[in-house]
Amino acid sequence: METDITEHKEAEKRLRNSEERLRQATQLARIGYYVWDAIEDRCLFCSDEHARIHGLSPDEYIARASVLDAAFSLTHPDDRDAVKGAMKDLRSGKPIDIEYRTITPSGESYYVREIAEPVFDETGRVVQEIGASQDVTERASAEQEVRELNEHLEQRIEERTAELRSMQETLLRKERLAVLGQLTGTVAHELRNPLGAIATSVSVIRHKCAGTKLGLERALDRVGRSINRCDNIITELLDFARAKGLQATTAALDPWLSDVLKEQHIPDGITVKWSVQTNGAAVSFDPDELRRAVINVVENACQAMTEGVRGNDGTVAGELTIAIRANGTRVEIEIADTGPGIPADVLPRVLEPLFSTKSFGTGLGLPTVQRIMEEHGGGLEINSDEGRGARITLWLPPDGINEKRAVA
Amino acid sequence: MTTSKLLIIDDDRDFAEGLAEFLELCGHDVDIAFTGEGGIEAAGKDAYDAILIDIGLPGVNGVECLREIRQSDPKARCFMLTGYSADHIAKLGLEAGAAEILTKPIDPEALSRRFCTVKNGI
Repeated sequence: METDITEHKEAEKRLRNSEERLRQATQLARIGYYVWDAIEDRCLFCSDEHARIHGLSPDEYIARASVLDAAFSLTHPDDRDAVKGAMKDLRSGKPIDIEYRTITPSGESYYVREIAEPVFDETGRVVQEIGASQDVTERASAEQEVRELNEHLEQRIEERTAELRSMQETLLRKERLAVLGQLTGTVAHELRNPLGAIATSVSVIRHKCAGTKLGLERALDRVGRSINRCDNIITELLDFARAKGLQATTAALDPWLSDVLKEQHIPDGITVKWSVQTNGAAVSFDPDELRRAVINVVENACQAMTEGVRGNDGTVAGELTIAIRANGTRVEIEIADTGPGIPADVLPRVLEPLFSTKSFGTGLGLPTVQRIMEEHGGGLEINSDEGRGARITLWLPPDGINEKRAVA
Repeated sequence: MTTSKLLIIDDDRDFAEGLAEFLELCGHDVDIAFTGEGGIEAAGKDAYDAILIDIGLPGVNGVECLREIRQSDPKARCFMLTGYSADHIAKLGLEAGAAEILTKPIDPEALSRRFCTVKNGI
């Protein structure tokens, strides 16, 4: 009897030791475990760690987990369906291995990996479920961080790729323009010499015919007009080809622009409206080049209005609005007309060199304006409502071109 | 109306001859040279009221030609002809002593009137 008691006590001690070692091991490994009664559907045992992951003590967990809805209230809402599905699998006899997030009563969340197996009775019925759970929050957070980093990296790569692509397009366009510029420059210059010979010879013929009644005057006038037209085209080509760098002057834009427009012939029927919203501050720009750009746009606008909008009696009635504005980021010259506007299908092409809708156009006007504005470090914007006119904005950096751009 | 004695130095024969013919019709006395060397030689032999020199001559170019003529005769009134409207070329010509830069195509009528007055130094 005494031996029995001693043996019993020894056995109890060994069991306690074994339990203690298991507790220590699971705590060290951060592994929790539980035993579930599948017949009565209640928790039989819950380890400290398994309870901790759910933000509860083992007794609290057992009390709460035995009420099914309350148990699911400990699972992150986004993971509840997955956990329910796994529990159903387990009840039907399949082992499970899942990861989900818990939500503790105080609102904390842990990532948990849970492995559970069913225990069958001799008839093959699931009587118990034994599960082990591990807190994998650190690993999962690291994974999440890596995922986010990856996404961010991909986004950065996409952004950089887009930047590079646009830079490459700009470079390609500039290179194409440079080649085109060289070619047009050479051709234009070579044409000027023979054109000069034609012009002097026409003058000779005109002199020799004077008073002879040969009736050549109209023919000679036509030749003269055509020479002028050729010369204008050559000037446009040379303007486009010009790449000599900018000669900067510092001046207030509005009096300068007013002088430029005074020299410009504005057709009858077109009224000019002014709007100046600058503080009169001086801006650095190349007056020859900017004049070329402004005149080009003004001529286009006048042409659009004289050809486009005529009253019943055939007269021109148009309004040219010139606005100068300055804000912290740029200085703008806006030139708006009340002509027919630019058709939507033409608008994307107006900056293509050699694209023209006019029978006598070289298609270099607006590309030249764009080149000039870009050389100034600014740009050109075109807005148009078909039927309501066009609005062209030439803009410069707030102080105009900086010294680095200017070539003395 | 006063007319002038003029020299045109241009390798573009059609242009030079056309301009010379016209200026002669206007009463001027015009000689032509088709090379820089020929021009310098002509300028050395005769006295001209004005000399028109194309900038793009083969061999001795227009600016060199102008410089040499002005060296022999600092009072020579020289006009530089160019197909370019670029400023740097004009600057070269003016530095070499050109009275004016004329950009092709020039207006022959205006040029002739110009030479009617050049003699008077206006």
